[in-house]
Amino acid sequence: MNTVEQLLSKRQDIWRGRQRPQRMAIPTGCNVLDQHLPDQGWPCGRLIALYANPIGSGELQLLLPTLAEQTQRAFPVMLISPPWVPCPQTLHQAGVCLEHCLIIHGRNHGLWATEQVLRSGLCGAVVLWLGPKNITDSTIRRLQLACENGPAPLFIIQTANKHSMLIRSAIKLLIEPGPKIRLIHSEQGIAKIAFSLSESI
Amino acid sequence: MIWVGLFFPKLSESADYHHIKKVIAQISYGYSDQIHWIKPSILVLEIQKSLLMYENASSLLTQLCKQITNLNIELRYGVAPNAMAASLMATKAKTCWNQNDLEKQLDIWSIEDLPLLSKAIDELISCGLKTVGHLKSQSSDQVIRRFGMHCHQYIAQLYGEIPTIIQRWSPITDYYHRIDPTHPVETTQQLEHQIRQALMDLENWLVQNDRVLSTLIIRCKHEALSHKNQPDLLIEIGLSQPSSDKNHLEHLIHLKLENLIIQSPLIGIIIRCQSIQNHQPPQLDLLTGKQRNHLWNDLIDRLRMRLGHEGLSNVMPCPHHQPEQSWSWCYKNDPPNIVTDIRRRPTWILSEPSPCSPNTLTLESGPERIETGWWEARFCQRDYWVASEPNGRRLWVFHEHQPRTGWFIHGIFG
Repeated sequence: MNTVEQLLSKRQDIWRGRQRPQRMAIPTGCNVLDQHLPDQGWPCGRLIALYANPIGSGELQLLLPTLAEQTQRAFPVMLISPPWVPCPQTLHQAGVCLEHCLIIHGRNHGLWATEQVLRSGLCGAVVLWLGPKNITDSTIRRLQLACENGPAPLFIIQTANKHSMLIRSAIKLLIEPGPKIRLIHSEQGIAKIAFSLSESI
Repeated sequence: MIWVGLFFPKLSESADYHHIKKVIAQISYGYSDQIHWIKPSILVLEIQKSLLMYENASSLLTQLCKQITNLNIELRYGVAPNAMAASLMATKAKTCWNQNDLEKQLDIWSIEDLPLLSKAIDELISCGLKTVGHLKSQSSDQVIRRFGMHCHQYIAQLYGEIPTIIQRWSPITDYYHRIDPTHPVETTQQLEHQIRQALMDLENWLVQNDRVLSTLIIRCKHEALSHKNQPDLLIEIGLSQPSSDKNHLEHLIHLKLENLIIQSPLIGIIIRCQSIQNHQPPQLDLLTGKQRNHLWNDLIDRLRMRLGHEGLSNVMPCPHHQPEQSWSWCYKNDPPNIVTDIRRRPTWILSEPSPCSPNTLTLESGPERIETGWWEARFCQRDYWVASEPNGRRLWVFHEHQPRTGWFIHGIFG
């Protein structure tokens, strides 16, 4: 590899036609999903939109292997504005190290807290539950920029509706009860896939 | 010994006289542990021992004077081999680095420039004594008989023949600072400004005492006329990592005050430190060389300031049979309880069970009978089921027999 090529390969933000640079990724814990994601896992420092229909359809269950891996490596994970109480017994059984799993309560300062946490670059993963209120493009952009500061992927979880589906993100997944997972968008623009989480782990 | 005298010509005119004296003493304490207010506007300090840390005496003096003059306090300094002479030299900004210089300087020092009562000076001049050297040339007995023991002792102290008895100033062991603003504080911006100024004093005190704090309490008193029974406004700044960093404290106070509304004007602000402990330098990570813990604690502090103490927590299991009691929020970084319950539990728990109708649910598996609380006269008997909603979402529901009757949702498998 020549010098120019080496320099270019270090940059993630240069468009190079079909030569997509390989990003750091965290395995999802679901083999089917890993195979279909562009980086074979959740891309580090990127925004990932999870649309739940309805909330509580299996989005936390999908993320448990990631949360477990990050907390076991002593990387803290933040659950911001969760709708209910994450059951500590279930988290523990899934391998999540509870002392590295922090919860930010309330929706009033959820976005501010998310930006602070991402900017610090100290967390292993950040999960934000958004309320029914629509989020603006400029807010999403702020979160994207903050996300690039560190290795943590930001998972934004929202109820699926025509407005929320417009969030710009690296990956979009639709989660329905079962939980059934549908990959509806990824940066590679691959064929859409659907699978049941319980059958694919 | 090298004594430095600091003379503050306008100190007595200052409205905040006692506070400024305290600040000056605290700054000087950073340069010497032997400091003394020899006169109301003259401070003396011994710097011989501190010279090891500076290139020379003048670099120490430059730094000390700069630190004080930055607070808009006018000063003159003098140097002499003893405390009494240093206080005198400071009034005319003279420096005598050894005994010979001092004696030469004192011999020509005008009697009129001595800090004695005007009556005593008149008496000395009327006897034909114009300089300190003239007075010194008189015999001791004669000076005592004609001008009194006090005059004799003073001259002997100036020449270093008898020691000057000084009472060492020592810093306060607990930090307490009261601000009385000239005008009532009505906005958070004004309050922040007042606190910011006081933080500089606090940081000096912490650094000089080699201490760090983990809790800062700010108590603000309302104007009595407007709200007689209104309790004091209490602002508590808790740090997850003890610190003495003024900028960090300022940032946290800013976050705390952002959401504060001042209901009525404030006329007194009291700043008090709690949980003061000795400073221990932060340790760096072996591999990265960064202070990861330090940054993490800064982040937690920032979040807590904005969200409140209960806005951020861990969730911990509790060893209790009843599902409502089997978890709790944990606001400290305590190690988690050991999880012994291996029964299947949902991903989400509702903080309070919510009533539901069993007609819309399909029961999939169960029941799991839970009976508990009989020993506390809070007997509870329930049958838990895994059920699914028409849309397929799976719930953790129970049919309660005692003390209530009915169906409730208690968790979600999601």
